[in-house]
Amino acid sequence: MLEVALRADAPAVTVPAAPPETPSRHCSRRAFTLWLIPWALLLAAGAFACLQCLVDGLHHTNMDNRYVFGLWIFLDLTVIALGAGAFTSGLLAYVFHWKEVRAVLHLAVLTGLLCYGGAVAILMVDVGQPLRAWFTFWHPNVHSMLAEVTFCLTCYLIVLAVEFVPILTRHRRLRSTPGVAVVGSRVHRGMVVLAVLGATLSFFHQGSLGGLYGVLQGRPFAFREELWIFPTTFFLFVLSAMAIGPAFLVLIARVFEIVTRRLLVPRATIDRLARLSGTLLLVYLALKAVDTLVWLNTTVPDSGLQPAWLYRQPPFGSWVLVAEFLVLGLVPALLLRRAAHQSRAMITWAAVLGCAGIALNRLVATLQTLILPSLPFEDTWAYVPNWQENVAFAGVIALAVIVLSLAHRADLLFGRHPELESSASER
Amino acid sequence: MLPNVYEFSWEPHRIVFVAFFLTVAGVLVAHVATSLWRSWRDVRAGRAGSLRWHEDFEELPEERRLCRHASHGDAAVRACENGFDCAHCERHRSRGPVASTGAGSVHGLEIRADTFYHRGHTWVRPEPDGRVKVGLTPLAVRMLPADARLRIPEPGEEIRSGDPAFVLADGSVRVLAPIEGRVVRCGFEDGLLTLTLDPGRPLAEHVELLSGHEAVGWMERELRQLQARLLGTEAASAWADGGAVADDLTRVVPGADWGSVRRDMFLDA
Amino acid sequence: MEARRHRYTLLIDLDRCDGCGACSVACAIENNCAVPPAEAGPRKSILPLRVDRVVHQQGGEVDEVFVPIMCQHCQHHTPCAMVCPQTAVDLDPETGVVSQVVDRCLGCRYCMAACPYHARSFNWWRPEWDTSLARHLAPDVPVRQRGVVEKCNLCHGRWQRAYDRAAEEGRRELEPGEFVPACGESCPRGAIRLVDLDDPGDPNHGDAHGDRAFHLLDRLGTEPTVTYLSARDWVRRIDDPACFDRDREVSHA
Repeated sequence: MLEVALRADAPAVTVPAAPPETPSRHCSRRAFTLWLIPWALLLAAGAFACLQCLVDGLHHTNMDNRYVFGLWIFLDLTVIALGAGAFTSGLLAYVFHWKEVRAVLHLAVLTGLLCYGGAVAILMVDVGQPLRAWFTFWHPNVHSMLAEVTFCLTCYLIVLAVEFVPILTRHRRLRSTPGVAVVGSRVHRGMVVLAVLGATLSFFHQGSLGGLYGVLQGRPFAFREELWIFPTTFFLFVLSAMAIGPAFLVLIARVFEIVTRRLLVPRATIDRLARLSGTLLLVYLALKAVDTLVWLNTTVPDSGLQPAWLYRQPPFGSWVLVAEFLVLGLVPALLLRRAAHQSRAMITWAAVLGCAGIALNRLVATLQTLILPSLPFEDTWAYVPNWQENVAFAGVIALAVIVLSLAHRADLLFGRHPELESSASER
Repeated sequence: MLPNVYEFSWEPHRIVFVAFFLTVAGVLVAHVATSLWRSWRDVRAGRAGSLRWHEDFEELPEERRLCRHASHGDAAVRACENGFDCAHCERHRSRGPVASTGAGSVHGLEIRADTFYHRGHTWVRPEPDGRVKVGLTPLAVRMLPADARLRIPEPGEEIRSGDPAFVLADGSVRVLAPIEGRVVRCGFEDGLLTLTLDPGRPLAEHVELLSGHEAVGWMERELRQLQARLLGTEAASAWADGGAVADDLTRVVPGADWGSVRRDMFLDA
Repeated sequence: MEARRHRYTLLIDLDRCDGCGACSVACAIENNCAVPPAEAGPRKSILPLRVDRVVHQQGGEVDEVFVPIMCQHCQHHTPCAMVCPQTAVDLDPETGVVSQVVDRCLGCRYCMAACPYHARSFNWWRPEWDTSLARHLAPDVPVRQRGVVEKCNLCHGRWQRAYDRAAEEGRRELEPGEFVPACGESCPRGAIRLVDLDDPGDPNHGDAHGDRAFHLLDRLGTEPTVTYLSARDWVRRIDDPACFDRDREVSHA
């Protein structure tokens, strides 16, 4: 291409008339760098903690032969449940044709990719021999829930990566290379297939993560009755993931709005997703209540245990039930259902509470299962994650923040909503 | 995992498991492979620009995608769903061709009777020798700084559908070519940069181009939308000049997000 | 002629065990367990066989029992075998022994969460032996790397050696006493014996099916084969869930 001046009488030497950096919808480069620096440091620290465990052994964590699953597994489960917004929003947009959801589709896919990618990354550090990970694919135990999880998670991660290609190709500089935009366009045309595939895979792996604990007939707290071939926790985990996914999406969008001090998502989108989340949470809580009652009154006594004993080991007392059902369950569910009458700030808090409730559910499933022994004469040990465990996961979160920040700066995440740009910040 | 590999047994659970994941993997691989192959064919056939245009079109705000028939008080019709490809549009066919002649001036922006206008703010004018001249509309010129430098295709280069005719030197905005064709030369008309092309198809086939009073109406709407973006209001009285649009709007409203404004106005998502 | 199927397991007489721990040490030596670092403690060491001490208080009377606990070789819906995603746990139908395939183990530790007896250990450190210990490694047992799970394999290496010797002599069946696991061999009071639960001719068969015999956590339905013996009623009920409510004192030998 040639470069020519627009006007015939343009001066040979260009004198900049406009200010050196024309303002855009993003902050200055300096401010952005300052924002990234602490996250980069956290990422480096997390990488160091992970490398320590990979190179020298998992004794650098506080897990032991009794607490074989610790902070990492609990947070992996939480993060996978929260990342369910990716497949629910895909389903809503491409199969049920909910137009409002389109505004957050790109965010949903990238958030899902980061949630699942981060969980898998931490999982690779958590297993003793990560290089043997392919054994599960070559020698699968088809009766094992964890084999099912491995297969589904891997496939779904690939689906998310493919779904991310059309988003990535929206990057202006990438797009100027011929063919890049075309690849994105061609992949995008198959979105319905990917959405359905993603939803099917997600159904199974979200459920299998719940099934992980439900099948443990040897552990008094975890074991549940079977519905068809899956324990009840299978279905409860799927439902809770579908319920909290949209709420987490709304929460992430709100965090973006708060940090960038701009409105990015139309109110209609937030309201519809929040209302769906609230409704599904109510259904989930109702079914969970039935399951808990059956469990406490039938399953537990049938194995000879007293239900009260299950909640006597510190720190897991009966406050867990109150928290899961009421404070972090019913309250956010009702608030989210009435999203249209709430302020953006209130919806944000409701989403936080809802996500915390789901996190508590995963925490209890992981740690309360392990803390309660089967042999009555065994004592209970305590577990507190050490700094490597905390920092490693914090590093994953830092990576997610960095990627999301870069994606937003490249205008890949949120579409243009003129009605939001003109109004002053409405909270 | 697979038959004849140790521990495989033909039990129902295993068959279902393996079949499910092989199907999933198959669908994924098939989708990615066909996408890549089709993309390669698209690039080879020169369809890359057109495909990109249709994709980018979806990302434009709705007010930039108004159907040309929407202005005729036709409330049922709002956003274009066809990428401004009126020749292949059911809506356009059912409403019949828009016979439009005449000339006009919109606050000093001239619309000529012998010129056709592309909604990406370029104009096309047929020349006596069968070639066409392509340039930037008066409003487009005013949206670029006076000392702007543009990248243009070299003489002999082929411009395909969806390709840009002018790209701002810093790459921040692409101005799309109104028609396909082969570049003959560049030049200046009235002190402004133009391109001369050998058109790929007869100009009459480009029914999406606007002319006459339809073009005048379009220019009025464009000016109002630009004003709304820059000044936050559409009222005509905001033009304190008393009628004519300033020569270099980037000096008049330096604080605007010009990158975003230009990309919207030039339909470059 | 087809070989008879066996269900080899351990018969542990709790009325004889005095908690000396020789079985635990012999097991570690036989299984090529490395000396753990100081900070490992009981929570992170490789302990295929541990000895728990259970104290019983009833109306002023105090009694204690020492319980050697190792893999119970569950035969039905074996919890660890069912959950391992790589099929790295194998229930051998010929011997009834549940073995850990350490070369296939990924180290996900799901089996450890599933095991109700906490009989499995994870290699949190890279096992290392100094030169003198390295010379004492048992040749029939593989050494493991860090990051894999291990447990009691009922001295499968010893069984293999005895089986090979019998095969050289043209026999398909082992004589009683030909295959002795390390724990049984080292117990000074003879509290641990090997028994073939499916062989009525086995000298310990009577004891294994007698009045004093019981299994831990029978109620789970996993058919653990390891058989404990005790004449004391309270000892036969140490896995009773009703005990969860009572105060009890536990320490690890």
